[in-house]
Amino acid sequence: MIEGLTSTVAALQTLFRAREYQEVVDRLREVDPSILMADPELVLILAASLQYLFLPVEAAEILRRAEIPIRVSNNRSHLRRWQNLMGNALIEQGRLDEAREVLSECLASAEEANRMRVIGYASNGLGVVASLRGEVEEAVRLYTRAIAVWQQLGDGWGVGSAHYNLGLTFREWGRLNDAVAHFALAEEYYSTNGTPAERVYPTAERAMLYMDLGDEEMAERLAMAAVERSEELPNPLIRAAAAKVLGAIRLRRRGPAAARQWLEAAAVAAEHSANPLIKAEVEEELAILELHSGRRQRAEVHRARSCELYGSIGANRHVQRFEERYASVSIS
Amino acid sequence: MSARIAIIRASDSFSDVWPQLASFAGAKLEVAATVGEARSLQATCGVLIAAGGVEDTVHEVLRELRSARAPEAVVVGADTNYRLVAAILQAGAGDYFAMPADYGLCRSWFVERVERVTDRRKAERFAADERQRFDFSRLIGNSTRLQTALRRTARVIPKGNATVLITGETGTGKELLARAIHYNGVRSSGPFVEINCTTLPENLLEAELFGYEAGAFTDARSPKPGLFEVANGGTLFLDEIGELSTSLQAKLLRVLEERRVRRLGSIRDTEIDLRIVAATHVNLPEAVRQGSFRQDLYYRLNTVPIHLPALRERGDDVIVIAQHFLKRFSEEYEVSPPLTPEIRRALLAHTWPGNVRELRNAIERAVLLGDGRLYVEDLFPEDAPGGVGSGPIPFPARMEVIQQAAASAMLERCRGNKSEAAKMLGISRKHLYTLLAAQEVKRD
Repeated sequence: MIEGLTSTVAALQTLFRAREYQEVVDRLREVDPSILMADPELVLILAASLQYLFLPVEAAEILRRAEIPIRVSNNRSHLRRWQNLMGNALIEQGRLDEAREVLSECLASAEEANRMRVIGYASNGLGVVASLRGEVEEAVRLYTRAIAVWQQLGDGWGVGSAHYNLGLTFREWGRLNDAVAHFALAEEYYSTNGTPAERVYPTAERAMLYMDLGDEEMAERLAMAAVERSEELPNPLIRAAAAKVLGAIRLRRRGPAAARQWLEAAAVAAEHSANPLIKAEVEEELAILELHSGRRQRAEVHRARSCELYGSIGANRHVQRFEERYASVSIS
Repeated sequence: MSARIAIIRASDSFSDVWPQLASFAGAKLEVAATVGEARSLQATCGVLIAAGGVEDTVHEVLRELRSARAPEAVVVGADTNYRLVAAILQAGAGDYFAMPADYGLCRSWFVERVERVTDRRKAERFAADERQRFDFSRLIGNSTRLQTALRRTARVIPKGNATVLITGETGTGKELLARAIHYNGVRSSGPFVEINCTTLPENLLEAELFGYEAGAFTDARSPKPGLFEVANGGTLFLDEIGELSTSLQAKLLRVLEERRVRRLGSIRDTEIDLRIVAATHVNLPEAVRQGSFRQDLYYRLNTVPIHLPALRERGDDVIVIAQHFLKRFSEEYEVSPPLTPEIRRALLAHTWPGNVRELRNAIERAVLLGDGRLYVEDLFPEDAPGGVGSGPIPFPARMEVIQQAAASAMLERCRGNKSEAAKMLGISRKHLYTLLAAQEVKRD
């Protein structure tokens, strides 16, 4: 029995390492639930694959069912992985209090056992929670801690992503020059440790920053560069992010007619990505576009969708910010 | 080279499982019959003693391993008698897994051991990459002021414990220099930990730097090491040290003097062995005079002061650095515009209040906006500061101030050659000396 199970798990692990997440999910969906629950390794591989496929609700459901067997198994390693996955699934669903609870538990356990990698992941997850809650100082603290961990582990990708997250946080905080510096560092680390797709994000974010800093010309060119790079990539999330930024910049710089094409392209790509945050962001820009076009009813539809999507992931601060933005455009 | 786990097989039980577990974890399995054989295999991530059915015979193996200072071994058996397990652990085993119930735990042990080895190797490669990334050649320029700073830095590097204070305006490359000191120094295999003192409020910064014990304050549910401890063996970079609160200044002074830290809520000190590099754009002597920065801390930090000059004080360095960024962005955006004389003149005329960071942005901007050429009007956004008359010379200024600044800048551009500088300015050497001396007096 052990041998059979081991070879199954080993085969799935190989597929997982090769990033064949859909294949892993397809195979494990056919497995009898009682067998699945009997081996936490199978549950953890399935849940991680579901998260990579942006299916957080299903991932959370499976993790929830496996909670008791994993907790009673006395395997701390499994429990920490479970906590990290559960934390991320909860973040994706906007259940931020629960996510913070489970990730804090994970971080404490990892620190006690000196499990650096887990400390890095948990710090990053808690940073995302803090950031979504608008607790910028706490987010900066956690991402700074994560950078120290990734550096010690020699994980250049981790360092790059923590700088990227710091860039987002500083931007939210209004410290735009700090944000530019962190996005530049993210680009630098991603250039040697990340995928081509990952390099597009900080470029797009820098474009938005230049817009905020008043350098519209540079903002549009950078956004165009991000779009050109994203068009060569198969990832719809990245295409949506780049097109959204270019559309938003064009809207502010040249008006609705110049922006519509890019924001509609962003909406199509966002739909394919199945990521609620990017969908919410694109809906927000579409709402503003329609307001500027004088089409209030359509704007309202997009506004409602955006708020619902932000709400679904618990990004209440984003809802508040967007409502203020929407109101100010409505009045003007 | 893959991570290796050695198995000393006292019994053949579960023998088919080991290769599968090793392959699951991504490790290579080496089978040995004796401790001597296991040692010659040079297991990188651990030793496992397979003892199904012969658990009482493993004590000898554990003793041998211990005396040979081999990596900690774990024992896998079938017996769950707690007395036997306790005896095995007492004999020096790191853990005991009873099969088949502990199969999952054993698998996790494999995975964690392999991860540690691969992480260690990755960290070594990363440190080598960082050494290259933050090599001193990244600090480009031939100006005497920069070279003075770099020479001083080179003298500091072998002194692994010397505290370094880097001063300079925003954008002059203080962080880059701090990293270069770490990654090119004797502590490069240790961690480089960075914290900007302006990003956290005082109480959070204190907890982050010093760490805390469980119960030290309401949210402190479990103990946490502070950044001083995290950076142990490496370098802690305290950016914007000039913004530190006076109460934290006193605590930092104690750390610098005693090389010990105490977590919040703890009664014990922990010794630390690290280099502290601090940086600031604030004029610290002035802050000391005004009472916002402790004099004793300033003297303690100022063991090795390094001042990074502003770009406008570095003469032709602006062109050398611009060429570096032009090469980089030309590759990135797949164009190859030349640095024309017109662009050179514009770069030299600008006063660069944002220093190297601003120059980097200017070159990227011109590369992106130009159609394969660089245009002067693309270098800066419309209302950018730093144009003629908005730089370090207060404008309007008295003629003598302008003349003194021009003399200093020309001397930099002529790499210290006073005759050439005087000739370029169209004045006598004596007049040049007078202007430079007046500026020195002003600086003092």
